[in-house]
Amino acid sequence: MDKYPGYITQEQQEEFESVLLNQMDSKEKAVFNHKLNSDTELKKQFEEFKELFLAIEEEGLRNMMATFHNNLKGESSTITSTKSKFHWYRIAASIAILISLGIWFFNKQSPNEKLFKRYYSVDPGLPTVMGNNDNYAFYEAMVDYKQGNYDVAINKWEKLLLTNQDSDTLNYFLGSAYLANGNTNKAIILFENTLNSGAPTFSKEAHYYMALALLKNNNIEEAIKHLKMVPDEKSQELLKKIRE
Amino acid sequence: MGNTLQKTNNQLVTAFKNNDQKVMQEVYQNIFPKFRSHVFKNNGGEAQAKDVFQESFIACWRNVKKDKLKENSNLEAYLFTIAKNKWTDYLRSAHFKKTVSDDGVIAMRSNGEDQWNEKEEENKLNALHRALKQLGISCKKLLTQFYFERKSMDEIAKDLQLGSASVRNKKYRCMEKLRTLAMETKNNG
Repeated sequence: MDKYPGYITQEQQEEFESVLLNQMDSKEKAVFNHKLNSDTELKKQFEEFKELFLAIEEEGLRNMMATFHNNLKGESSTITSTKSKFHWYRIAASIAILISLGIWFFNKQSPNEKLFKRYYSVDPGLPTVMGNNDNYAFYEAMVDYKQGNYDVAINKWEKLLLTNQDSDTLNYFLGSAYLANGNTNKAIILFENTLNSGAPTFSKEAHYYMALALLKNNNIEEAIKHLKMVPDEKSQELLKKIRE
Repeated sequence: MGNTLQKTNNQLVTAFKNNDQKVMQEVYQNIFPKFRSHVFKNNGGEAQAKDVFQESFIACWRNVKKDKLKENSNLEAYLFTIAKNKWTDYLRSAHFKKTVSDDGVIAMRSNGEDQWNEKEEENKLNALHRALKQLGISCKKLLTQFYFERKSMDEIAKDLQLGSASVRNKKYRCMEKLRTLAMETKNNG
């Protein structure tokens, strides 16, 4: 504990706290500020404490973000520019609700599921640029995918897959769509295809999402193998969490 | 911009400074749908809108805490501006530039390990957040309740089923530990 000596006293900490929690009246505050300005050591300690304090607050706020966002969903669907989009949103939303209800009913949340939820966010997809493009069908489905209409995207991409079985891109995004839609087993097969294609473009992502899908299926051993293939921070963090 | 329950801007600023969750929720509710429409019109989807907005919300909160918001400027408009700017950055960032060439081959241009280059200040904060992750769960809970949720020591003592003297000591020890962890992460890069 004392490798880094020189932490402030308990009383000093509590004085700092009452400043930062706004618990001082103006007179006390004036006295404190005066002390601070005439004592550089104290000032340094205060700045250091303030950083720690803010970091804890920020962490608290970060954890609140999901709640803020979820509370939002219930009340507003007043968005989107076109009617058809809106229509698809409603369908997608009902599907999402059905799926999550299904999951909720049939699965009590296991620790693996919790980890999955915490670390999973849908791959944002590729930019869809208008213009002449040979892969029109692919990008058309990408638009659906980005709007969260995973069923529609899956239908379109499945058709393309019949003639493009080796495409790592197609396999990867089809897998992402299945995973987003809750079809973990399908996702695993498609991520496997992506990795087997040998193309490096999506291999990092494919390993990561593959690991998440396996985790969701409680196949921890295989999930760990895939995470070990990705050196980035997030994967290593998840790896650590799984092993805990 | 939307008027959160007719609160004046000063009240919003004070509420942000005190981490008033109800008010922050309302601001989130007012601004997110507007930002989402902006993203939809500019090459983005739901998931990206959410991520970028949440980062912006935190940045906005941080700046309010540090009194960087000019007096009389509207907090909600400020949040919206930050989010729009961050979206522009995002569109320019390496993450987005998985480029598509005419023959439909997709190449990924990777630029460093992560999507965007945060400023130095944020790196410092990240080191602190890494330290926080290593802090035990009970310490984290106690400190969050006291500093973020602004609960009183009595409430926390009750919640943790501890005497007030031991909560007080625990809080001190937890902060000392966090500081040590932060210094270690800083020194180890």
